[in-house]
Amino acid sequence: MEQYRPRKARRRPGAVLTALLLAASLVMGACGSGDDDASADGPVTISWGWWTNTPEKDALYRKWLGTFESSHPNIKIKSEFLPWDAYWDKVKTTTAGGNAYDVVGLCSCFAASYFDNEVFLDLKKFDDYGGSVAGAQPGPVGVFGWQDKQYALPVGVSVPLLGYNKDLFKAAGVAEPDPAVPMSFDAFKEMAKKLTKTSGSKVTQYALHPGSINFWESLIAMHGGSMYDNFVGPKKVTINSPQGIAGLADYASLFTEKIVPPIDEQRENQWLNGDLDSLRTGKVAMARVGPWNFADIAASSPNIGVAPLPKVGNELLLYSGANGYAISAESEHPKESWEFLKWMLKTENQVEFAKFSDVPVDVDALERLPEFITPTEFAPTLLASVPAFRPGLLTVQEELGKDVGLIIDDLGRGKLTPEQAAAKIEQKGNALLAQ
Amino acid sequence: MTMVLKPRRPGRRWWRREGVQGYLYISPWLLGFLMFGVAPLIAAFLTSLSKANVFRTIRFVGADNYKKILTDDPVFATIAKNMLIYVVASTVISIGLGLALALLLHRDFRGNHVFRTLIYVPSLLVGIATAYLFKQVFQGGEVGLANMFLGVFGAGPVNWLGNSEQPWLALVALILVNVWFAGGTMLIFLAGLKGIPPAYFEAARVDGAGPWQMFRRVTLPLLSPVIVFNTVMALIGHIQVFETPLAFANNGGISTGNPLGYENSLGTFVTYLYVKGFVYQDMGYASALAFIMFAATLVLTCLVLWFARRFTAYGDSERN
Repeated sequence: MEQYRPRKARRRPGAVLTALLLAASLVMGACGSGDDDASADGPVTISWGWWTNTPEKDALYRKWLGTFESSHPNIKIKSEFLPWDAYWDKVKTTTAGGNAYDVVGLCSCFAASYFDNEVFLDLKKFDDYGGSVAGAQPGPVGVFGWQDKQYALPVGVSVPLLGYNKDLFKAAGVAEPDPAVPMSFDAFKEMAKKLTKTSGSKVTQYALHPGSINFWESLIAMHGGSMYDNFVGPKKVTINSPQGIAGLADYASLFTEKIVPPIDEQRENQWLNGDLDSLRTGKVAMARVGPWNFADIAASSPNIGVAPLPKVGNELLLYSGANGYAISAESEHPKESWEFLKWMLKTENQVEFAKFSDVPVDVDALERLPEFITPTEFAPTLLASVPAFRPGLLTVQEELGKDVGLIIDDLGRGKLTPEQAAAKIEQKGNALLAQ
Repeated sequence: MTMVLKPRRPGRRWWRREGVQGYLYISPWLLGFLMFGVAPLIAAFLTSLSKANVFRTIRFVGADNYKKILTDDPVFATIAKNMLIYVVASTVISIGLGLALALLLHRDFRGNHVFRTLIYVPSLLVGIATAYLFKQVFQGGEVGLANMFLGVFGAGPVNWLGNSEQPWLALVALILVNVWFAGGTMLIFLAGLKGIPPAYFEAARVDGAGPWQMFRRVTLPLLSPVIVFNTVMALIGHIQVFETPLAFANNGGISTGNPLGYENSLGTFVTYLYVKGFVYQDMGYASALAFIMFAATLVLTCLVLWFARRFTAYGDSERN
């Protein structure tokens, strides 16, 4: 008697093989890497990321990168510019997944978590590290240091300036501010009040859009206080002092005296989000600008002027960030990436960078700033403001900055007094820092 | 000549067995499910028992994350309240409006196919596009469509999304967005209505039933399985709401304003999970939130199914 064997099984060895191959291809496809590097003989391609500003500035950035490629024929840069939020989402997820850019563009504002988790190379381990940073200002370099290690190097410093719409000043009969001497906070407010326009009960023009200046930090410091015991890796919030409360009171007065739009209106289309965009609406007389806007202003907004932000007491202090580059710890091309970092710190390359972006960190390039900055009339303002730069908050507790901002918003809304705001910031901030 | 086949030894060529072949055929899917479904689920559960950020696991903390969420997190308490209001109100809108539209468009009149299409198509729009569309609709001042509508009646303008005095208005706006998606439930109800044999209505009419009695005694019981299905699907969908509250709560990006809205008035389970995990990088806490959200969904779904058993008729075996 013939033994039964299922026909399907007997006649389909090919199908079984196909099923096996399908399964194997799925596994291999999932685990394979998408490396699109050049061959061993050809140039090495390093991936490079930054956040987008404007198409014009991005084009200038690409041109600058092209200069690097010309001087390093064996290294090609695959650059990517993404919108601010998308860029940080990508950096975070690709870094966690071990697939980050070789050269990661960094703002000091978000750098602490990356440093604390050691996801970038310690640049001090490169033999020629010392010589490479010798010409850079120690302050901005220190912003990217973390627990005796150097995880990134600065390419430029974001020094905030007071941009103003010359047409609105002229229409209000207000003299333009001095380009090199910061005015006092009280004089600034007197001037600003003339620049807020109303029609009936409705405000049609505001003097200032505070946007992302975080000016309260500067006001507190200029009163002699400080938000934190240390802005880099703070252990304690120290705002609840007479000086801190005085700084918050100054900041709140911008709202009560109708110099800036109410908090709840600041994010409406009418006034936009601050900075150059708000100035261009023709409904905001002053807003934060910086050297990163100069190329745009020179190209399409000749009616925008700049002046230093106002000061309290004798000294102008500006808390802001530095921008720079790190090398991913997972990079397959650390040496080539390091070549880029060294190149960007050289004086000539710093000069070229500063022409379209931030204030250079190289000391020689900074001294030459009046020679190359455009529009040339902005140089005195920049030179007057650069010494006031102080590094902004750098902490692994990312909730801290956000929570402080929300309490400051309530101060602006009039829901909290300066005393209450200072106490709340201190209580909430210290609870977070204690975690 | 008769060919004699030798019996094969058991255990040899195991891959030729029918059962094994079956598993091999489904193995691409099975592997995908194990790798991209089961493994992340286990990893997420382990992460929920740890203090971990997006880069690494720092230490095992047991049930601390769960304990903190359920007993010592005022933000979560606010969000749980938001979700209760949002899910109940949105489900009522989805089911009520969807059923009303389906009953209306089930009637035979000229052009009803055009109306069905016009009402259904908007629900196909992707979430983030709808979110930004409605951000414009609920724009403050006199420029938003909602305020222009209120202006016709002499009311408003209302600061819907950025109102620090009445932050609950943002939640109302979020609930109203569900009107846009009523077409989805309407279509399923329409299919259910088509499945009711006309003979029942004719018999009811012969017995002297009016429109309301026909709806109450014929349509509703026979449509009850579809109502339960739509309710469960709507419930799960509403618990997972994400893009719209995130777009409503800030100025288009996570770096501006509070992504959970003023005083967390727009916080939902998923936006809170996203903020904790990807903005504040507390992956352990975010994973614990995900499992709590799963438990809440399961409990609510079971409640609906339990409650629906008393009113649902499944063909001849009703109330089994």
